[in-house]
Amino acid sequence: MNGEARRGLKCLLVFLALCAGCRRSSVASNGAPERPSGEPTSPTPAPAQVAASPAKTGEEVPLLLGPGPAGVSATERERRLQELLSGQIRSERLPLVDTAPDVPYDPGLHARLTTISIERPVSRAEVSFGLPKRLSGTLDETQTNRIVAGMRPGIRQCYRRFLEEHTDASPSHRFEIELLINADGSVGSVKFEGKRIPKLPEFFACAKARALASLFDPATSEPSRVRFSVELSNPAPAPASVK
Amino acid sequence: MTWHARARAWLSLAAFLALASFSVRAIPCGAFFAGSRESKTVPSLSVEQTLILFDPEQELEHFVREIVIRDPSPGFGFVVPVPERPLIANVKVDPFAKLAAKFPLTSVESAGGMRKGGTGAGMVTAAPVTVLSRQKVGSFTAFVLSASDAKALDKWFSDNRLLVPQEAAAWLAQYVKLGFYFAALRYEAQEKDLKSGTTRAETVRISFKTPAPFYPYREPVHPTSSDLPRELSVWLVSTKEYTPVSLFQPQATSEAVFELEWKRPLREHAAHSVARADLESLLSEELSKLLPGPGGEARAPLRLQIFEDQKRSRAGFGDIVMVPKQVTPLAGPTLERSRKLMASLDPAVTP
Repeated sequence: MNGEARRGLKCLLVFLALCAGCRRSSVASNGAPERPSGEPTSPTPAPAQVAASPAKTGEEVPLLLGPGPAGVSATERERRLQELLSGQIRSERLPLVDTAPDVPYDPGLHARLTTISIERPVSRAEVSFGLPKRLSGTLDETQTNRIVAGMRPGIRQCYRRFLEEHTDASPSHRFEIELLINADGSVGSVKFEGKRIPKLPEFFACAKARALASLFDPATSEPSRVRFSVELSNPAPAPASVK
Repeated sequence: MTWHARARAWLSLAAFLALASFSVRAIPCGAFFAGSRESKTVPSLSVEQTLILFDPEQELEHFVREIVIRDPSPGFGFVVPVPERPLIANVKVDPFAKLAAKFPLTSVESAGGMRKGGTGAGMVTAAPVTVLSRQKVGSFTAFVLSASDAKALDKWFSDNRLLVPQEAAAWLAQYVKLGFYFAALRYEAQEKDLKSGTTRAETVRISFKTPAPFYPYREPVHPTSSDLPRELSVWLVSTKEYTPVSLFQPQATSEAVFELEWKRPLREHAAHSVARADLESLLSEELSKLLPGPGGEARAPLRLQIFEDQKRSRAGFGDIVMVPKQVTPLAGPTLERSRKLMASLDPAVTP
């Protein structure tokens, strides 16, 4: 390689290193995505710099600004705030966090959540449990039956809520719930099983939270496993009854 | 189901609720008729709909919020912390179905020409809790409170049959420290409501002075978080355009000051220039009277912005302050009146 080529390569490497140094992740600190289109990012410019650079469009560079790092003086923090509140910072370029991490923006969510048909009265949602079977452990049978039965209203509430938001859901579902109950009586894990597990993610998330919140009496020995069947049903639509 | 189990479910389902901030997940019968649809509909418990009418000249915000209710437990209610003393009123005609129909949550163009409101002034007292007003608002009893002692406020809620979840104590204490006021609404359940199984919605208005639009967005830190979908939609009407900004502080490193960042917690769908007459025809008379800016001859168009939030958790996010998009003088008394908002965006600021 001759001297000129070496110089060229050096320049390229320096340029690339500078570029890399200037980048910051576009993912918000809670891991949430920025705009679905993915807003580009840049180093944090000083507020004064931002105000003085009107050539950039709002979508180009998110401002990674905040009150300031620990060492920043109170005066400087106050100045930043005043600039923000007086419109001197291009606030539309601050990072956008409007969805849960890894969840894309859903353009139909508002319409779904604000137009829940009440022509199918969700209060008719039915949930029935089969008798719990102890697969392992020493948990008392009567107590198990009682605690499992106590979960039913909560699971029914989850199902009602699910139906409110999914008015086209199938009228019935069957599956099994398996609980691992720790020696201290807390529920360690919840599994949903069955040949055809229905796709009801919101319902299962809610039902799992309910089951995990249950508390059995502490067992005398090791953890126990309990399984029981669940049937969800939503009787056929009936005429609306609005008060 | 116990109250705690129910409260946990509401909290995790969507947001704040009993005594959380202004994001009730509530519950009983009735429904509203949604626009031109043929079937009767109700909103889900997981949706919050808000209309903010803000007059920058008067520094006056009307925060109009829909509350969805089904099967309320005794003690159901909620608290909205606001920077200055609020007025609370019932809104007879829910504006949200019409707003969503005419100004949907999608990116679109504008429509095409305006008035004002009025409300209270600040009043801080040295008493631990001062009840500034009590009135009936729809199905609720509404209290306006100021407090100088968080524990006393907690006790007041308990004495007045408003159940405060344990995790809300720290949340309330922060607002007491900042000298905020509290709009507390207690649902007065009727016997027929308790097992009706149907859902209905009521809308309330909370009006207060503020130099910039404020959205009580911060929630108590819940022990369990929910992964269920939820949605917040906001229609902001003013004479200027604003960007919603919130302080974000990751919970895991809450002690690390350098983690503090400002974020936009709401997606802006559109900003319309709307003739006042168009808005007057869309909104009920009671809300039309509250539109910002001069009425009469000087009927300049208003700005209507549409925002949406689909986050399932607000953990780490503070309250929202809407900052102006255009340079707006901030000095002297206005700066002084902005201290509480500044404290929402930087915990180092003392109001």
